Amino acid sequence: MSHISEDIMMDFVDGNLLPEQKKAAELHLLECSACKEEIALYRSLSNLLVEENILKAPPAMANHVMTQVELHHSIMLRKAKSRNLVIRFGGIMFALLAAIIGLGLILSPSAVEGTGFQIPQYILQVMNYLQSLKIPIKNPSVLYGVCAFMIILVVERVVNSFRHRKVTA
Amino acid sequence: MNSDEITWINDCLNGDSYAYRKLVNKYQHFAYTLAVRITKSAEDAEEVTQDAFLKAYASLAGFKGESKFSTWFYKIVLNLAMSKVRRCKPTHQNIDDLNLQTVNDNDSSRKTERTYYVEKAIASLPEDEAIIVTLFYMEDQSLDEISNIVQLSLSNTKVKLFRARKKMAEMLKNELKEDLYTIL
Ligand SMILES: [Zn+2]
Repeated sequence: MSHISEDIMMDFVDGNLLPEQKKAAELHLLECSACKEEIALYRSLSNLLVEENILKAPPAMANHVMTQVELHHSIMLRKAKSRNLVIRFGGIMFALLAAIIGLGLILSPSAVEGTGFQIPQYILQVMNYLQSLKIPIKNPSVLYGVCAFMIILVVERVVNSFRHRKVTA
Repeated sequence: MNSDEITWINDCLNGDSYAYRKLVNKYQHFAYTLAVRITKSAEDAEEVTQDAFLKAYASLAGFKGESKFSTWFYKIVLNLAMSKVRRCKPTHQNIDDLNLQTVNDNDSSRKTERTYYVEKAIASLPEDEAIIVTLFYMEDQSLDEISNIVQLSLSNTKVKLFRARKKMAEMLKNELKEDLYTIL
């Protein structure tokens, strides 16, 4: 007669045995005091752990947590408010800049001689100004790039603000 | 998932930070227990538990409800406790000095004695076994969920739980001898 294995004993105590396994174990327990003692040990261990497993947290802890949570909450609220302001004003500024540069590009009538490529007076003026500041910009495509970048930023802002609204709704 | 919890979490997400108090009340003892079993220090465990609640609150929007809140939250507790232990070398505080109480304690010295035995036995286990056995005897954590929390395979988790219980049974048998059956 072989004894009940320890994993079967644990499952027996946890009530995880199949009906036929349970029946076989119970039959064995009727005639084996060694296994009966082991089962009693595991059952005691389980009872002990069920009752004594959970430790009591310090009584003041929950209040501390809530103080921190409230603080975090108010900071996040304030941050969200100021972020909204920055996004709104930043967006307007970018849009204005992009519009001014873009309009300049479209409306300016002048051209650079000999290149066959139309470069607006407006851009030439900006380039001259930058050169007078000793910022050497020889190629107007840099300015086109800056303009395109700003437009992309504006579009990204607008798209983002729409997406954000969707999540919070 | 528990429908109360879903309500509380949604209230939190809608800006009612007070709803979080209900989650704190429900999980503070479980989280603290888990933290004690890993850090083996009452102060560290308290700090870890507070940090875990704050972190969970801050990242509540990232909780998608794919698992139970408890499973998700215990993972946070576990990670914070582990990194705390890794950061400051364990002081090996003696269990005797921890002065712990379980939630079921009344004033009887017999209860305290039992708490002491359990704490001592769990403290002598390797870290992962201690965590698994703690989670196993917590409210409604299935083996699947436990293996998710400790990031081990299900079979590996089962083996470790088996080993932990076997060792604890041995220890309690030696520790308590005939006393075991009378105080239980
Ligand atoms: Zn037997």
